[in-house]
Amino acid sequence: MAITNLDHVVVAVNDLDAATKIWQANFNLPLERSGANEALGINQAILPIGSAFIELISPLGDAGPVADALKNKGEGLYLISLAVDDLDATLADLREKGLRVNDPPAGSRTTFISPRAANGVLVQLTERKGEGSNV
Amino acid sequence: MLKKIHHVAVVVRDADQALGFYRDALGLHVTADSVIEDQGVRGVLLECGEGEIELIQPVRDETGVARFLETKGEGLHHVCFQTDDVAKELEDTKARGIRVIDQAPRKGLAGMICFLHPAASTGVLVEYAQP
Repeated sequence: MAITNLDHVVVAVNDLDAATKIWQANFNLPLERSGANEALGINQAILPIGSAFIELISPLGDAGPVADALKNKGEGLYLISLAVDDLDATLADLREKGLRVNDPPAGSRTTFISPRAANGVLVQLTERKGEGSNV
Repeated sequence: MLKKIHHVAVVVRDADQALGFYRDALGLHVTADSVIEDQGVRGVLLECGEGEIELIQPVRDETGVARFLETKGEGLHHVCFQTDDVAKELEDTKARGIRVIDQAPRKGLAGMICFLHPAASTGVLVEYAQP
């Protein structure tokens, strides 16, 4: 198993459209796409840079982890996502080393490591097999 | 022009303890580990594909990083974009009215660096670095 890249960085924001304009203007980043992701309960905007991307997210409703983070901590860095070449092998390896990690939900190739295990950082593992920066 | 995400920084209480996760469990390689006396921090860089993860541990009180740890606890601290010309990038940024912390580039762990104010970027502390 191997971590192959710093895949993306997620920023929680209150107003996705306003935040997208700010990030585009401040850093001259292109907007690859934006829209609602009903399954995740968020609006998201993808701004590529190098082989990675910045993802801005805002909650679709008042409940859920993103809404809670905004209420408790305000806007800011939310999680980092690391690309892995083989998610199943990575999870098996981490469990062997004593970490508690959940299997990805059915149909998904991404999962999370608890911030308690990662010095307060919500770490996402995303399997990439050479495709582009799709989430 | 910004080239890539150079690194994402994590403030930690004890870098040795944090390496137990970032180096030993995740298998990332340490590329730099040094104390920057004037900033009062120990910085550890771990290679992660095209980018890096930087662990920052305060080594004395009364620094910005020590205050961050005290008030917010461990966690994500800033994101750093790589540029070919940090001085020009900073001048352009200031000319566009974007609030900055450093008025001029200075030496940091990642080369010549500067920080923008988090209020300018939806609460995110952003660094520019010219390695």
